[in-house]
Amino acid sequence: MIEGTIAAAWDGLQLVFAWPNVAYPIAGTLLAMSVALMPGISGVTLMALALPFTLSWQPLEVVLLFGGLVGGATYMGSVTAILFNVPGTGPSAATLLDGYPLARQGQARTALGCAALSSALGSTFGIVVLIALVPVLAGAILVFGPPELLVLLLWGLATIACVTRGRPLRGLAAAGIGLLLSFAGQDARTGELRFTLGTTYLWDGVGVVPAMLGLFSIAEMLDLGGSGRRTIAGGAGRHALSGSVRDGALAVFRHLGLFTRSALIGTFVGIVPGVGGTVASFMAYAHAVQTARDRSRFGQGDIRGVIAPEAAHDAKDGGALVPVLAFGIPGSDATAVLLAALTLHGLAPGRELMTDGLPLVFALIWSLFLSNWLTSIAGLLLARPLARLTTVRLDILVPIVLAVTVVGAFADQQRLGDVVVAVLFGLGGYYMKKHGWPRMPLVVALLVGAGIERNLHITVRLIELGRIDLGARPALGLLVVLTLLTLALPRLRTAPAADEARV
Amino acid sequence: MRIGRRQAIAAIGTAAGAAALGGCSDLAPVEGPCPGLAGRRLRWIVPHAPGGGYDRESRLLAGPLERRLGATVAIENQSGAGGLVGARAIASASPDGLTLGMIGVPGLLMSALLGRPGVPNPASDFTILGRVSRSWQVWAAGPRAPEGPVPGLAAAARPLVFAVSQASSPNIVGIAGAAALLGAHVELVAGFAGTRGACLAAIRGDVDLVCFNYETIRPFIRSGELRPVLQISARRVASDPVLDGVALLGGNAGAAVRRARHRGGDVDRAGALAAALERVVGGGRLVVGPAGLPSGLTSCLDEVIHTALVTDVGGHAGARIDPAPAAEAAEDVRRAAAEAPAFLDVVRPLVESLRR
Repeated sequence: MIEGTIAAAWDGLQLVFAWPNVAYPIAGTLLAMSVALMPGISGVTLMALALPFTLSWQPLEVVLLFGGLVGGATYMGSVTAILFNVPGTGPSAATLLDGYPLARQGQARTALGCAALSSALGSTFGIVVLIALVPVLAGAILVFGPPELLVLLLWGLATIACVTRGRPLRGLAAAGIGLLLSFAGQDARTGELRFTLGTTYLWDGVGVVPAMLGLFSIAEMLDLGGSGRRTIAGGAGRHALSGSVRDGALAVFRHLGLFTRSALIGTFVGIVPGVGGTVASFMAYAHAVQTARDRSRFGQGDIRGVIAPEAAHDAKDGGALVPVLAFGIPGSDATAVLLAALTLHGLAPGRELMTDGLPLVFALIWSLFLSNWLTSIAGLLLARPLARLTTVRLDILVPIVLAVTVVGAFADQQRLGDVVVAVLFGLGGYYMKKHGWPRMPLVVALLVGAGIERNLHITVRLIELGRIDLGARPALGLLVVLTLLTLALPRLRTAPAADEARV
Repeated sequence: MRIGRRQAIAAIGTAAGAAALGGCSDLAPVEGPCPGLAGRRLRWIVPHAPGGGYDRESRLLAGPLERRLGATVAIENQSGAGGLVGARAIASASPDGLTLGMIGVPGLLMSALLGRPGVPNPASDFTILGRVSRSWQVWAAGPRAPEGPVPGLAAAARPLVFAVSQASSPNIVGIAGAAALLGAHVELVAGFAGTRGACLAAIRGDVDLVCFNYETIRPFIRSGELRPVLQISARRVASDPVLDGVALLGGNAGAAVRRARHRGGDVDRAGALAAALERVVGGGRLVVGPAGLPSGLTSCLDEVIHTALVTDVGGHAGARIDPAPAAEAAEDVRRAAAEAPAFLDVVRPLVESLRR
């Protein structure tokens, strides 16, 4: 079976790199990257726009173009996170926790270089693992039922404990607020509406993307506006910048162990259907904090806080294709549109596609791989000029970033309510920042709260109906052990209080 | 599998052009069959996020409509509240033909059955301009479901456990309605991540069955991971061989009538309810405008939309549509809206059971 998979991977590789096939992922990547620079049009919108124009295309052309679009759609997410504290995409919110403080210290080039290489290598790692495991992955997905998802998300929540030990009560309170907010909306189990304040906007809950944009981007801009600083980097002109792209890239190799473990986390989370890249990034970040000997720099500009989420985020892409292609379960908006494109061209997800259509599947994987490398190379090449943006005067930069943030909050789902959420979270985030409240626990809890509740209810119901036996699920046992270790390890270590991370 | 250079350049150019010119409205011709629409910009509201069936069908239809109407069709995804936000946006727009869109009939009927506030009535709060597709629901069993076909399976000693995504899902009408007609005892487990999440639960054996639109779960059925056991219809829902011998709920020889006869029940009523259930759960996706569109504009849009669906969209392999003109679609919806309350007594207790 493995020979067949390797042969299909080779066929797929040849398909992608044959001329003119290779032009499709390149064009897709460049299109998505260009669009990412325009406020108001997201990568997903671009993909939806392109959908009807590909009707007469061959499936291979569609697969190659959309692979490029998916890869390119995430471009700039990490760049804006590092430079302006603006999480362009959900997963890049974890990158800003240390990427932005680096930019504030004038080391934007280092952070950008590190993010670019870490994501490119992370993508490569994810694809290699994917190729090795394709024959068994479809079956592996079935191992993850509601109890496993519940514990996996609890594991995600447990990571909060690792990064808020400096102020545990405040961290706990912030997580509680996040959980409370995540319960707003329609109860999937009963259909009842909760905490919707009489508006249909809240039927679907509080939007995570506008919430993150508010908590980080708007709050930061408000803070910068009143800080008296001249620029983000502290000074004007090239001399205000230190560090180099090379330093950042080399940092990935200096922390190869962390990179590998983070990429593994990303790949694993990607394979689990319906969890998503944002959880992967935060879990990897928390892992970096948890396993570091000296945690004092996390949250204040530690390069390891850039390596881990970037590696996990891009390593996830390969694994995340498996639930999409094997079962039609998209893990993000971009893969949802990709799924629509595949379906339109008669490529129905399922066992058939994962066996007979394997070369086409690999063409998609390689196209995504190529796209990830292209964006990373662009990131490396553009890091120096982009880093100069942190030396732009704040009286010019702050209004622009605020405007782009508000437009970005609206553009994601084209809902005015998202702008209101972004502004409210911005004010809340500003207060939290000013008074030393950690924001990450709130984000993580908001992210995983609804999933935890849903899977808890399903698990309880299945136990009530006698449908599942928790003792006969080895994956569940493994996840429980990992979660307990996550909670216990920080307590087993004897790090002094001064070494604790404050995020 | 190589692509010609010219073909590649043309294709990529098309995509780039599409992306770059997506919002340029002045390129459309200015003459068209519907008075007042040529050269204008039409808002086309999709009540769900990009990538789903509504979005896909809307985007397939938008191009042909632009050509045929001489207008620009601007698609707006107004997702939220299970399609209610978009449906309300269409219903509350000015009836001038410049705001059109799609709605899902079963979802609106289910929301109304659950007593949700502010749910537009698909039969009276819109001007129906045609049907794009219908949903043909099937019951599909996983490996741990009781063996055998319907109606024997429905008489299993233990309750049949179904997975659904949400307690407000219109598929619950298909489960509750068919179970009542078959005399089956069912239990629900709600909260799975969409249709696919629920199907995975059945494939894993966490639940026995799912009830979804056949087209949606066809890959699982064709791969043998799910076994179709009941078609909520009086005729085959698709020509796939895998449906050979799968019980039909409706019709004179359908499972509902046979079960009623076997139990000494009212055979005529069983047949009528089975037909009503087919209409309620199969209401499908409609193209609509706000109520009160001028009749001349309505008939013109009806003709253009139906022609575009049959001629332009229907020929595409990936488009699984089942178009009907406005009058036929409106009559189906009117009957479905009138018949839906008949299932209230079986749907409510099932939904209530989830709250205990």
